[in-house]
Amino acid sequence: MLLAMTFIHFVNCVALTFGPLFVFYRSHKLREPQSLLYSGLFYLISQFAKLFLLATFVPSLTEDGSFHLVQELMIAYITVADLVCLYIFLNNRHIRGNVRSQLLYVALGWTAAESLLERLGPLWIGARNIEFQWTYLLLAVGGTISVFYFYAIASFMWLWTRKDLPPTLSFIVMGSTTVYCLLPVLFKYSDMVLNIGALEVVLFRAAVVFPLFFASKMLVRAYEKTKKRQ
Amino acid sequence: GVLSDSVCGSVVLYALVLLALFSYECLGSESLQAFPLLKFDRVGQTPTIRKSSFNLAAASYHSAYDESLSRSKAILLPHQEFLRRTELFKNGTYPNLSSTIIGNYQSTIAGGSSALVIVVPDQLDQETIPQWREAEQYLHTNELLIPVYFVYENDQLHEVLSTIETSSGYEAVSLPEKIFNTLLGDNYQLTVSTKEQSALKQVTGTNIQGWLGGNGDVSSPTIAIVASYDSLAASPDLAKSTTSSTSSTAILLELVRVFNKLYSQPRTQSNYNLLFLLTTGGHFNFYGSKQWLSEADDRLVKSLEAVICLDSLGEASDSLYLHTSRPAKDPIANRLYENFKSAAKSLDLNVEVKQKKVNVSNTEEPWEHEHFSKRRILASTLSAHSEPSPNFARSHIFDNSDDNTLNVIQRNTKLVAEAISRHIFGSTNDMLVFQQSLEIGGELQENWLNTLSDTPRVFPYIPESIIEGLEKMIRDYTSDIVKQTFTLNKNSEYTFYTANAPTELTISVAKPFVFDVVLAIMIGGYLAGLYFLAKVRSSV
Repeated sequence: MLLAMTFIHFVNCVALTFGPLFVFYRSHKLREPQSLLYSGLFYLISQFAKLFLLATFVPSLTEDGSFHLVQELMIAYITVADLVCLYIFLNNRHIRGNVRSQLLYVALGWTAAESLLERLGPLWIGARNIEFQWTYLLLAVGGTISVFYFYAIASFMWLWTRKDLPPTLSFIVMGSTTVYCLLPVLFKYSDMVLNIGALEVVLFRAAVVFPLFFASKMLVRAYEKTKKRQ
Repeated sequence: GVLSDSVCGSVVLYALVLLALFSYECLGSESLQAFPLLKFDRVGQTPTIRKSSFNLAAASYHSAYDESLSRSKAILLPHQEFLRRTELFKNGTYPNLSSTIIGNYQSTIAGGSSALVIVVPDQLDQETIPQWREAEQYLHTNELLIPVYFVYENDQLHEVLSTIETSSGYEAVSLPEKIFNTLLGDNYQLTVSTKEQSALKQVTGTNIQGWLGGNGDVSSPTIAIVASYDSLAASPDLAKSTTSSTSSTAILLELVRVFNKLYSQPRTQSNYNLLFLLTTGGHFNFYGSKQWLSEADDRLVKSLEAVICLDSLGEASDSLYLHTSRPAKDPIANRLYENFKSAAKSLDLNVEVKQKKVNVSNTEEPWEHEHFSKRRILASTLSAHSEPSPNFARSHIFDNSDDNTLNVIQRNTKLVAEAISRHIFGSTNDMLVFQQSLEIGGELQENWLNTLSDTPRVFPYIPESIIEGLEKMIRDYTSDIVKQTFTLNKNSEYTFYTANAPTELTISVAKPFVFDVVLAIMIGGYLAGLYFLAKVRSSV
C-alpha cells in the first residue's frame, strides 16, 4: 500500500513534467515527431559540447559552494555553445513548417530532452520515498517553465538567422541574447548565495523567464510586421 | 494578441500559486537524539525480545488503547501522560486489549502500539520527582517488548505532537481545517535505525578497596566506609546519579584524602585501621558489596568494628538519617551512634538514628548495610532519606546537580569525617578536627563531582577510564589497594545486553494516500486547462 502510494506520487510528478509538453504538442497540431527527435538530439549535442568546453577551458572549479563571479562568467561564455547549436539547427531548416511551429518543435524537443536528463533521474530516486517533499513537484513545474525559456531563446536565435533583420530589431536581439547568456549565472547565484527555498527559486525563474518569453514573442511579431510591410 | 498571451501565461502562474498555497509549511525531516531504555533481564523473567530499530507511522497517544489504530504505529508520549499511565498501572487499572502477548504494564503505558518515544523536559520540578522516580522503577522492573526511547522536548517536537493530535481528531478544530488535515495534512514517519542488542556473555565488575593502616597491631579494629560508584537511570547515557551514588563516591574520595593526611602524622594516627571500599553494581541490589563480602578475608571481616555505607548524600535535607540494624543496647553501636549525633550537633546538623531489624528472608535489601549486618557486622547507612527506596528507584534521569549540591556534599563529608574521628580517637570534646590544613571540601572533591556527573556509569557499561581514575586516587592516598574483579556467571541474577548508544530519531513528513489522488486530479485539470487554452490561442 505504501509502495503504491509513493509510486503514484512519482507518476504525478512525471505527469507534471511531461504532460504540458505533450499538451502543447497536440494543441498546436504539430504532426512531426521526428522534428522533436532532431531538436532533442541537438540539445544533447550542445550539452556535450558545453561539457567538453568546460573541461578544456575553464580552470578547476572550486567545490566549496561559494560563488565566484569571474568563474561563472567564464561558464556563461560556454552557454554560447547552446546558441551556436540552435543557430545551426534553425538555419539548416531541418524542420518544416511556419515560424511558430519551428520554434515550438525546438522548445518542446529541448525541454523534453532536458527533462529526461535532469528531471527523470531525481524523480525516480526521490519522488518514490515515503517521505514527502515539495521539491519534486516544484522540479516538475520547472520543466514547464523551461518550455517558455527555450521558446524565447529559440526565437532570438531564429531572428539571428534572418538576414533581412532591420538594425533596431537586430540590436534588441543581440541585447536579449547577451541577457540569455548571463541567465545561468543569475540562476546559480539565486540558488547558492541567496539560499532561498525551492518554491522561491521556481517563482524567481518564472519571473525572469516569462518577461523574456513575452519579449521574444513581441520581437518575432515586430519582425513579421516589417516583413509584411516590405 | 497580447491579451491571449497574458491569459495563457496567467494560467501557468495560477497553477504555480495554487501549489504555493499548499507548500506554506515546508517541513523537511527532523532529527532528534533518542536515548534507549536500559535493557536487562532478571532470572526467572523471559528474556525481552525488544528490538532497537523501527520505522513506523506516528499515531496519537490517545488512540494507543485502540488496537486497530495503534498496531504497527509509534507513539510519542509526553512525560505527564507517562506519569499518569504509571499511576493507572499502579492502581491496577489496565486497559482491555485483546492481545495476549502484551503484558499489563505495556498495555497501560503504550497500548497496542509498536514503538514508544517518551518526551521528557530538561528539568522536572521537585514535587513531581518522587512520582517520576517510581515511574522509572516500573520501567526497569516490568516487561516492555517494543522499542522505547527518550527524547528531550523542543519547539519542533511540540509542533509535531500538536499536529498529530489535531489530525487524529483529538484537538478541537474547525471543520474546514479538519477536512484539510485529513486529506492533505502531514502524517509523520518515525524512524530509528541502530544495531540490535545481543546478550552479553561475560559481564565483569570491579570493586576497589583502599587500606589505611593504623598504628596498632594485628588485633586492631577496622572501620570501613562503603560507597557504590556506578550510576543508574532509565537510559544509560542519561545516568548522572548526582545526588545519589555520585555524591557518595565524591564524599568517600574526600574522606580518603583527609584521613590520609591525618594518618600521615604519627601523632594524629589512631590504632584503628580504615578501609575505603568503592563497590560496583550498587544499583543492582548492592551487587558489589555482596560480592566483596562473599570473597572477603575472614580475619578482615572479624576485625570490622563498624561499616558506614553512604547513600543519597547529595540531596539537600533538613535531617540526615543513620539507618542501622543493631540496637543501641550494644555498647560499640551506642558509641558509634552517639558520635554521629554529637558530630552533627557540632556542625549544626541533625542526625536521627533509625534502627530496624534485618529481615533475613528479604531477597532485596532496602539498605546497603543490611548485606553486612547479615554477616553479623555492625553496619549502618547514612542517608538523606528517612525511608528506603526500592531497587531501581534510587536514581533517575533528572538526578542532576543544582547550585547547592556541592555545599551539601561538603557538609555531609564533614559530618562523616568528624563522627569517625570521634570514634577512632575516643574523643569526648566537641572540637572539630578537620580544620585549616585538614579543611574538608576543596578543588579535588569538586573536580571529582564534576567528572563523575559528566560520565554515565551504568553497570555494566562503566568506562574503563573511570575505574582507572578511581584506582589511581585510592592508590595515591592509601597504603594498600586491592582491586577485586568478579564475573557474573551464567546463573547470576541478571542478564545484560550490549550497550546501545544514543541514536537518531528521524521524524519525516509523509502525506496521506488521498493527497496523491487529489494531486493527480489537480494535475489532470491543469493539463486539460493548458490544452484548451493553447488550442484557443493557436486557432486565433
